[in-house]
Amino acid sequence: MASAGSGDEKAAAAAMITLISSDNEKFEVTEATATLSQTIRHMIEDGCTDGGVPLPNVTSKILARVIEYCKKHATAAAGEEGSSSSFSDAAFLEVDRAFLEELEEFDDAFLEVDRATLFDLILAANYLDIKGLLNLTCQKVADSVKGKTPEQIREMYNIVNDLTPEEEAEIRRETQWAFE
Amino acid sequence: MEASPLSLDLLLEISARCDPATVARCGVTCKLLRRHVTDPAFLRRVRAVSFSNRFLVVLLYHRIYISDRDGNRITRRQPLFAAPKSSPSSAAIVARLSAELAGPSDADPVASRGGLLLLRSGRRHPTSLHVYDPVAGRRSHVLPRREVAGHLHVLMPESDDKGGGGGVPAFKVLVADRGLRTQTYSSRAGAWGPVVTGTTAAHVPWNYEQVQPSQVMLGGVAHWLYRQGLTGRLYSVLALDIGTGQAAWIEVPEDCHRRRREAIAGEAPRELLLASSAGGELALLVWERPLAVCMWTRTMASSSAGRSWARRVVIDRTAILRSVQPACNPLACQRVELLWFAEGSGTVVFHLNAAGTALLNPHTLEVRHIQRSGLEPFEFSPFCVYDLDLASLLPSR
Repeated sequence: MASAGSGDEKAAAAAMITLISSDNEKFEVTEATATLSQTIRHMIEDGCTDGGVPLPNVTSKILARVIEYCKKHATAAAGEEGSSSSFSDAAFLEVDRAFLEELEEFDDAFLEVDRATLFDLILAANYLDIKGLLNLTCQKVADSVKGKTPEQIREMYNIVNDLTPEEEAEIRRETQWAFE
Repeated sequence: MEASPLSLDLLLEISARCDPATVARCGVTCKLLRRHVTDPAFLRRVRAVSFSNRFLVVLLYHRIYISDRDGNRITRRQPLFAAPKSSPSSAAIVARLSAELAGPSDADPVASRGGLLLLRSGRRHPTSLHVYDPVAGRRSHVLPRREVAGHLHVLMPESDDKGGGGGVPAFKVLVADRGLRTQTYSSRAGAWGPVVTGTTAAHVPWNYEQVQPSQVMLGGVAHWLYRQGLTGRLYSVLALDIGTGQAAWIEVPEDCHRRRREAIAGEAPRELLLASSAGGELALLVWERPLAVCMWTRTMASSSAGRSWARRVVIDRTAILRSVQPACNPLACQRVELLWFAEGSGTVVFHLNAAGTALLNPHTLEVRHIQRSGLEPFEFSPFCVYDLDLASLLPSR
């Protein structure tokens, strides 16, 4: 990933890509922003982005948020010679501290959404293969699952309990420490 | 399951970022999640993600004798503990540990490993030993009388299978006296083995003083740090092979602690602490001048000169003070006492004067302030650290 040619990338930095949401809205973004998505990066590499990239799994509402995220984080990656679009530890070290703090504030504010939107962002981050966004959103959900009872977790994920009462009691006995 | 907006992969992606107790609760939601959160590969992910956030660290204090206007009494400080951040469910384990110590057995904790705790009752030989499992909370396993006095104690859980008797998982306990005669108890056999006298004629000289009872186990060899003489500047590490009972002394070169902060005369020399590095080498933490904690590691032999020690800075005072709020001017926080190395989590317990008790993870450099300094008689009473990897309690299929 990290070996993606830096020279070509710079030349192409100004190139624009059109993303098309499931409800047919078009978004113009720079290639640097779009390639935070591994899925789109591969499409660009394969040369199949002419006429726009249709994203039938992503609504315009969610796509707008995803692009907002990518724009912010692409700026952070821009200063990096030949770095990959994903945030490696090494990349983090060199970006200056103030900007990292700003980025953290942005991420915190970005995650201030309702649960349905958060789940949609996870689905989009997964489909578009944006590692940073997937990590961020999954961690947000993980933090909100903490302290919840199994019943609350089922409700949150919309899971149907198919364990028999006996099975459930058995599992609870096995991990009793987690329920005290 | 198809009703869930998120696919199984994504539910697992989220669950792997949860603390162990939450992972356990996810396992009670439905059959599919149950099957996947008990998958060994998934459990490895949980352990990797929550590298430093899955341990319960509990400081268990010894009894102390107090004379005040109410007369003489015996008392004990309540345990201090740090649970994984925002994890809901360690309080019950701490409460059981606390209740066990408050019980009628007048026992002090002397060693811990793998979620088990070894307690000693009585002050003089023959003391009696018992092993307690605060996770299961069942009756403790009382060890029969033994011949060797308990200068050193090593507790070794054998494996995760139950049935060692007394409701506690199988374990061994090794005790050694100052002559380094050892005797090992096996819970499976329910009896002490023979007394083993090391052939190397090693012993703990009368004027060697243990710096902390904290021990470091590496490859079946337990290590403790001693100071030579009550006012000495020389330190040695005792290495005791748990399997064979053979002991040896490892010299600590003076280079390692030439720059250390020196203890005030008459005080316990706790500016050195034996530890292990992330790579599993024997390490020595040193509270150095001006104000930093350094780690010396004993590298593997690379030449005929044998092993050598190498130094690196772990953390300085400024970094510690970012997490520890002192009760007074930070300039007064001049003295650190390194109190314990908890092997399971790699946590270093230290005391910073005018600030209180804090935990340092030398690998993540995270510092957690767990107790403010107070003018309590408990401030320096001896303790034993119980550290439990909550991820190790997650069932695996």
